[in-house]
Amino acid sequence: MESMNWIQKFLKTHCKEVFITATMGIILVTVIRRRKKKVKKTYPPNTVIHHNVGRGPYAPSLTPFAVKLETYLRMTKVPFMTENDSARNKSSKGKMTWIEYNGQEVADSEFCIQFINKIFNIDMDKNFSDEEIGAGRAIQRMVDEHLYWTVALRRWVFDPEHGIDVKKHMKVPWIFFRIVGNMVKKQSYAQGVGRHTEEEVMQVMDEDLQALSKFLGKKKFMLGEQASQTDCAVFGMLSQIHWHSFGGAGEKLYKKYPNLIAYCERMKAEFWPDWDDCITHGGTRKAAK
Amino acid sequence: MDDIKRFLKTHYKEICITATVGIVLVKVIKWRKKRVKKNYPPNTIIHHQIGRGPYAPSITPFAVKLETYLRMTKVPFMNEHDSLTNRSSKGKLTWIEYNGQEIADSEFCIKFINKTFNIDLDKNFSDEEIGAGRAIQRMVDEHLYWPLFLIRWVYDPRQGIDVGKQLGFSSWFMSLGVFFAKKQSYAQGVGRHTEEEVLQVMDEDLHALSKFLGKKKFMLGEEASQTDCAVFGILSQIHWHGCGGASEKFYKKYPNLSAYCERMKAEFWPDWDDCITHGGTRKASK
Repeated sequence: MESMNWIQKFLKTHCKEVFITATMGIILVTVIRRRKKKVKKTYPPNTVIHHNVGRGPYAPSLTPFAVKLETYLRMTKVPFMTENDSARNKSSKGKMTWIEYNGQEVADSEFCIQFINKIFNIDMDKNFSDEEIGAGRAIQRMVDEHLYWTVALRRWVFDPEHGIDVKKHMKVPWIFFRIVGNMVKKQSYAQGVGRHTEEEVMQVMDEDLQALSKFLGKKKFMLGEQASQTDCAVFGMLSQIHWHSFGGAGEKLYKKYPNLIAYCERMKAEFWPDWDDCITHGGTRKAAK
Repeated sequence: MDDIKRFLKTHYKEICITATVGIVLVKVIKWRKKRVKKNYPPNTIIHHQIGRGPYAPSITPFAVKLETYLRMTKVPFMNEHDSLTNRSSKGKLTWIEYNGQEIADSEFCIKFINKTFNIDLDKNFSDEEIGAGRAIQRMVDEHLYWPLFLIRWVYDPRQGIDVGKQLGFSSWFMSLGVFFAKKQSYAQGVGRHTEEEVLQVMDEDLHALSKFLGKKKFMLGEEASQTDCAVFGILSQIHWHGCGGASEKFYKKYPNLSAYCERMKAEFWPDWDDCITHGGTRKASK
């Protein structure tokens, strides 16, 4: 009861300040929301607009899901363009890789792929047996839903702890790095992988890489001679270890699997012949594409 | 600030008492936890888990997974149904102990068992099969798990299914489950989807399992493997603890998965009826 009186007294004596703060807060939020809606550009029709964060220093993006999605767009040869605005223009699920098509927005890289398949009548599964399709889906889940967390923890938490200046390589400010690092710790704890020690995280990362290596074997692509959706997910994730480890421990593990290294180079040659135009070469120049 | 200082001055006795009681409580709980160290038989895996489930040996897939593996490999083990108040070092309900050493996380437990008892089930399979098996385990434990988590604690109850009653949960346990389901699945990612999208991704995983299994006896062929333990663990929750809800409806589209579950049950759980509570109507004898 005393605390209630205390609150009432505070509100009475400071009513002007409270009112001004509340009004300013409401105005700020409204303005931000309206600005977000206002930024609707007019895009060419019947073209997939791939919203992403901008080109990466040594691979086409610092996020595996943008590399995955764009590799898929290239693989299927659908008409698309990239819009490097998603740092401020996030998807409906709060993520930085999404697409837009004739005004319709689609979030989540897997839903985007399904949408593209439906709109453009694409069925890459027809090249494979049921067992291969099933294995392909499992491989996609493993890289996007598990290997991802080990890569995120390495980049945002462990490598910096070992003195690797990841934020300098990624050209992001210190405060941004701290915020994302905390978010990764929190999210990975809820997911589960974040409850492991660093050694255990490296162990499970190694298990996933080993599984990918064993499954790939001597094959050209994950499911055989022909490329598939699965390759996009795997390439997306491995591209971050292959080109964006910045000398961290993930790279050392990855080097145990030369067939994965060769696979990445094959995917790059096959679907990204213009790779050098799609990276910033360590932030030294603007990517031409 | 003056108000806060005044509050602290006038109520310092109450604050001191509350703080002291709080600290004492925490210390007592921690000390009790250490004291409850029982003496277990040597060279025996002690499988710490929660109690038996109503229609399957546990309501958590990871306990079914781990115990199926213990049975598959025939290592000496015993069950200790105490993990609700005796969690693992990672805060989870399924863990093992061996000659005083504690191991958390079902996959780490399996690795430990393999190392301690010199087991290598992988030797029966090709590299490609082993790779696919690991991917299948990741899919069921790290992805399919989440839609099932959301369906059990959030979606089915919303549709009027009394999950708590069917699975024997108290209402406070249900509230805890709902809280964690929403929070953790949002952080993980699946929780950002709409209910329709969550069911869709669950269906994709079930479809993948069904396609991968095809007409095979077990996931990787004629012989059982670690992969089967993970798959059976997760599917057991739909097959026997689906409560007539959304997960069951989708699962019924894949008859080869139902048949697979029955085969796993027959092969590794011939004493199944002694390991369940039959809807909470009797104590499980094992």
